[in-house]
Amino acid sequence: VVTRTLTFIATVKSKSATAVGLSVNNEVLDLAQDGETWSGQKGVDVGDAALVKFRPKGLDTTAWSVQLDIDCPNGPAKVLSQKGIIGTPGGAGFDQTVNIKPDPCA
Amino acid sequence: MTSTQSFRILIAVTAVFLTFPSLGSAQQSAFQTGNGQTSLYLQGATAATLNFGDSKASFGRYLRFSNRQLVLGYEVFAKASSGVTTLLSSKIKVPEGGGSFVIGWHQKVDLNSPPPASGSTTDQWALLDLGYSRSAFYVSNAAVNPEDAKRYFNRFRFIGVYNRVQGRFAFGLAMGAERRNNLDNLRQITFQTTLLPAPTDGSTSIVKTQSGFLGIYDEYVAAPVYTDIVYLVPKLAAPGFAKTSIAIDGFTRSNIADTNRFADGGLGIFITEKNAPTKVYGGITGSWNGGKAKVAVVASYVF
Repeated sequence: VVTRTLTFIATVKSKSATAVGLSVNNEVLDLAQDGETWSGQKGVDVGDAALVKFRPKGLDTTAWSVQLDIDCPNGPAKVLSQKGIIGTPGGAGFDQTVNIKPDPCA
Repeated sequence: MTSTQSFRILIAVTAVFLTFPSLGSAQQSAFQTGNGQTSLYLQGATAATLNFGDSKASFGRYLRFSNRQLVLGYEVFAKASSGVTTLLSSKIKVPEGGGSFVIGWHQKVDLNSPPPASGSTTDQWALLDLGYSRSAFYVSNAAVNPEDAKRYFNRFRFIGVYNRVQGRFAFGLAMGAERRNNLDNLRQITFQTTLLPAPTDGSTSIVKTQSGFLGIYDEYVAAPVYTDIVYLVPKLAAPGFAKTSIAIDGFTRSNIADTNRFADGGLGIFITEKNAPTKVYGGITGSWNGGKAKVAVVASYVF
C-alpha cells in the first residue's frame, strides 16, 4: 500500500454544539469556530483507507452535520458526509473507515 | 481622566468590538433573568440579546478551537435610559454601558473513547468573567438641584463560572465579587426644578423634571452566587410553532456578602429553536425575593 500525504478539509455545521472533535487516522484536526461552522484542515499520511473519528458535544436535540473532503487542485474531493442529532442513536458521533482512491483528485 | 472621557473611551471600545466581532468571543446565554444575570455561558454562536426586564441589549461572541482547551470571549452591553424597552416596566432606567472579557478552560473532546450508544453527550468548561461598566444617575437625600445630585458609578466584576451540559440538562454555577450600589433599595423620585414660576394672578408654572432616587447612596462589594439548571422538555413546542422547543430554567441569584445579603430564586420558560437548544428566541422569567415577585421578558436574536 502506497502511503501519501493528503490534505483533509473538515467542515462541521451546528447551531448549538458546545464542542466538536475530528481526527483522520488519529491525527486531530484543529477546527476553528465561526458562528455555526467549525472548519479546519490538515495533511495526513494515508494509504488506501483512513479512519475518521468524529465527536460532537452539546445538549440533547442539538443537530450537526460533518463533511470531510480532500484538498485537490480542481476543488475538494468528497470523502464523507454525515448528519446526526445529539441524544438520538448515532448522535454522539462515529468511527468510520473510508476508502481512499489511489488518485483521489482524479 | 474626567467622567466624560471615560465614557467616550468605553463607547469607542464597544464600537471596535461591534465593528470587528472576530476579535473575541464568549457570550452569556439568553437563559437569563430579568436583571440580565445568568450563570450559563453557552457558546455556539454570536448572539444579540434584548432583556426587557432590565432594558439591557447585549452582544457577545466566542472564539473556540476544537483542539485547544483555551476559550476566549467578550460581551458588550448597554442599558437604555428610555425608549421602547421601558414600556413594560415602571422602574427608573439607569443608563449603563460596559463589557466583559472571558477567558477559560474547555474540556478537550475525547476521540479515543467510543461514542455512547444513547447518543447523549457530556461537556464541561470553566471560565473567568472580568467585567466593567459605567452608569449615570441622580440621587440625593435632600431637595437639591438635579445637577448637584448627578453621580457616576463604576461597576467592576470578577466572576468564576463552571458549566456542564449532560443529556437534556445544562447546569451553571457562577460566584465571585462585584462592586454594586444600593439604588434598588432607594425610593424612586422626581426632581422638579421651576424654570418659570406661576404669575401672581395665575396657577401655571413651567418646571423641569428629572427622575432619580431619594436616600443615602452607598456603594459596596457584593459576593454574587448564581445557579441555573436548564431542562429541555422533550417533544414540546411553543403553541403554533412546530419548529421550536421549550426549555425550563430553575435559577437562584444570591449575594452572600454581609452588605445587602439576599437569596432570590425563580423559574423561567424559554422558547428555543428546534434542534438548536442554545438558540433562544425568548422567554419569560418569574422570581421572588422576600415575598416580592418579579416577572421579566427576555428576547434574543442569535446570528
